[in-house]
Amino acid sequence: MAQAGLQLGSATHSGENASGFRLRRLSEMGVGERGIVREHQLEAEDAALLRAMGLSVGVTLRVFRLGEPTVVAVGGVTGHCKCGGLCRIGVARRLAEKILVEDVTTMVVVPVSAG
Amino acid sequence: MSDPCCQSGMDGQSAGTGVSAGADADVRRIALVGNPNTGKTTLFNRLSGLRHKTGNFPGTTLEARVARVKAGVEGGRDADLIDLPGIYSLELEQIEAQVCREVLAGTSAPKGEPLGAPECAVVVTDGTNLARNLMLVGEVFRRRLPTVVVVNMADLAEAKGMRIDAGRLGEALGCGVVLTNARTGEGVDDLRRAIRAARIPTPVEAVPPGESQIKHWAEEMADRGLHPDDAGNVVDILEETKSDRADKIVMHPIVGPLVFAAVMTGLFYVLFVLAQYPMGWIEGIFGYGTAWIEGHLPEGILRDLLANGIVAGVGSTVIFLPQICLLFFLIALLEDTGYLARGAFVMDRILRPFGLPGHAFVPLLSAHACALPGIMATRAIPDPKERLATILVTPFMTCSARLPVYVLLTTLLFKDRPGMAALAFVGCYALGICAGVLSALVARRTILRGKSRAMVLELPSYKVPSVRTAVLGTVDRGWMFLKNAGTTILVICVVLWWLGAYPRVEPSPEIAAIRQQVAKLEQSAKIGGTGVSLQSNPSLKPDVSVGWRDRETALQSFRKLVTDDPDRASMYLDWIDAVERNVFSPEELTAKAQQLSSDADHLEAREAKQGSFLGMLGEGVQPVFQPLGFDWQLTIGVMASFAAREVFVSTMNVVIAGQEEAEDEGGEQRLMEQIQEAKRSDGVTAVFTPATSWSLLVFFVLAMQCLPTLAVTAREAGGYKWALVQFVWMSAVAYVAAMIVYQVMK
Repeated sequence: MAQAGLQLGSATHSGENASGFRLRRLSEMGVGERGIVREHQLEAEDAALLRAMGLSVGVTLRVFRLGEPTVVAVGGVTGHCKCGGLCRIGVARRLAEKILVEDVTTMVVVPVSAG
Repeated sequence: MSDPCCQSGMDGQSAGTGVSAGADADVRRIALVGNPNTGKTTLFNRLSGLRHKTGNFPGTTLEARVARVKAGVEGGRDADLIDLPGIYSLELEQIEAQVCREVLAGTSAPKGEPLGAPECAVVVTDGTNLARNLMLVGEVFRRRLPTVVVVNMADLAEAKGMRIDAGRLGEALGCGVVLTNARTGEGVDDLRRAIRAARIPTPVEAVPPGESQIKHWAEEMADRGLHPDDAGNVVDILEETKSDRADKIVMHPIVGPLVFAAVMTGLFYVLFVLAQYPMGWIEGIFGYGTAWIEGHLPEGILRDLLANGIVAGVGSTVIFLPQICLLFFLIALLEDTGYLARGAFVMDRILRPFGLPGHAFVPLLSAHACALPGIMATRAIPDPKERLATILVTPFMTCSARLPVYVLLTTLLFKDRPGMAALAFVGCYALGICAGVLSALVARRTILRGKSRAMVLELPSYKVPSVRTAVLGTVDRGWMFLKNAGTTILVICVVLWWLGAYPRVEPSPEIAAIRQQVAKLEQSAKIGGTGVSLQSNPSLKPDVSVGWRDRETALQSFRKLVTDDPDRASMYLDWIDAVERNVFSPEELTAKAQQLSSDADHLEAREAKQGSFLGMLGEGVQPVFQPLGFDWQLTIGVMASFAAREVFVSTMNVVIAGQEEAEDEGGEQRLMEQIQEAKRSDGVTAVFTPATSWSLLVFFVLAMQCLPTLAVTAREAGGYKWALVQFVWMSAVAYVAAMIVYQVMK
């Protein structure tokens, strides 16, 4: 899940990353808000599991619950309707604190054609 | 499609270690792979019915289920179906993923199965979450095995406006794709056909090598598999659903634990109310079995071994079968509803401070029926250290086998105060739980120190549970338990019986004297009753009674004696009075004979127990238990219950009352009184003083007294070292706690 611009331990507070995204910690989002995962500071093992579960850099998520656990719905890439599921992922708060998200709550989802 | 079977067989072997793909060359091996919560196991059950065996993957604690599936009517070969653990990715470091990798590579197989790669991999996916599931499909494709992709729950996806087209998806993936509904069985026949025609996939786009690229590949494949009319649809799958609304209540910081408590209370209520009926029947059947053996076999070692060693011993374990089955059934139902995943999070908040994960709550809960399924259920805990800690403390939970002991001791302590007895009962449960979590904390701070793995769990949407799946799972567990009862527990019962029955002890002179008296009483009852009372009068010559065949002749003789022997006239007048008042009727004498005879039996049983190996052991070890207030009788009980706790009650009955269980109705009450009034060797002090009873109760709550549990711990934790740690730790805690209780209360 490591991507360009990510420096482990650097993003100790919400802010702007190298790519210019306004980032917030997942744990600091509001219930009902949507975001795109842009970075993380997770340990490799946790990151691999979350990626396999569908929570990886680039996916859109919606926060359904904050605290212990933080519950999110994972919806794939913005506008990509086929990838999400009915499932929700519960994440311990201390992991949610290490996931940095771009808030896209106000973005309008527009239909796109397949492919 | 050309017949791929032969080709696939060769390919499967080349991917493996070169070992033959199966003992039976005509049997195919099929591996079932998939994410958790995709309905993989339901599908396995659909394909196999009840015909499967449960074992382990070697060197792991993971459960392996293998089923022999008969060839269908369309031809083909029989197949062995292996249900692999649910995983999110083959590339993870988790043990589950490792097992799946090895089985697909042919370097590992369930215990007892030959090595060799499967000839076909069936990847079960969740239609409502297709893109993510297709990542695992891509990882399986890299293994170059003939593959079939199953899209389960496609109906749910369709309800969300995402119609999955099996034909299009099959073309994109270059392999067979089948839509199924595992719950209804829809599509299962298509799957059987697809398995027979399975081939090595040739996707339109090759699976990329990296983990991050595979995600895009999976999304691309998911796009292509969608029905053309739905391709342009955008469905806001992130909208709030009913499940989300329910979660707001169920996972609320305050309401959540209350809901959890209510659910668990309900579960246990149903468990105990419903289980008591079949438990009664089983008890009846085994009781009948014992009686039948005793009535039909000649007295001797064989009869004793069968009746008291095997039937009674195994019966005392099998009686818990209904509770265990019902518990697993209810937990399976609860798990299928999707609630258990939420419960794990709710409990994570409570268990985390003690170094245990939320996953530990199901094992700890199950252990309240029996520690064996509890320890087996720890397989759900991902972190090895957390899992080990849970295994070690699981037997602290109050299992059903402790209940008879609790009943005995709380009844002794609070004879006519059922309210207080109930409170003490609850206290025992609480003590077990507290000791368990505190021990876990100690373990996590010492021998199992390490960072806790943060909890990540998929929360499946709520649904109506499948009774079929729950029943099949329950049958599986019940059968495992019965097999255990028929092997390990049977051996333990026989050994214990032997220790308790040998060496045979000759009856003491005291017993011989009682038996003589019984013979006289019986004889006198026969000849008319009166004589006995006179015979038992020491001032009378023994032969006086002879010839008194009935009351009238006796009265005549006495009257004659009054005149013939005036010096002792007053004594004869007393006798006449006694006979006229019918003080010593034949019925009374018979009853007295029976009473004395049963006293002799009990004394003999006691002496036999005391003189047996177990008795010698008890007396030898007794000084160790002196500080806890246990005399030799209690020590024998405690020693015997190291094999299985419930044995304590029957041992106490034998040691104190000389009988294993009450012989008739009302006998229970008498037995209880006998136990309550039982005296120590000094003949004055009661065996069960309040201090001793409390000390015993605490000891039984905390002590590790179950050999089958130790055996399972060794197996699950991966070594006898851990069983030893568990035994020593629990025994030490129990000993110290019971000693404190006794010393404070005595």
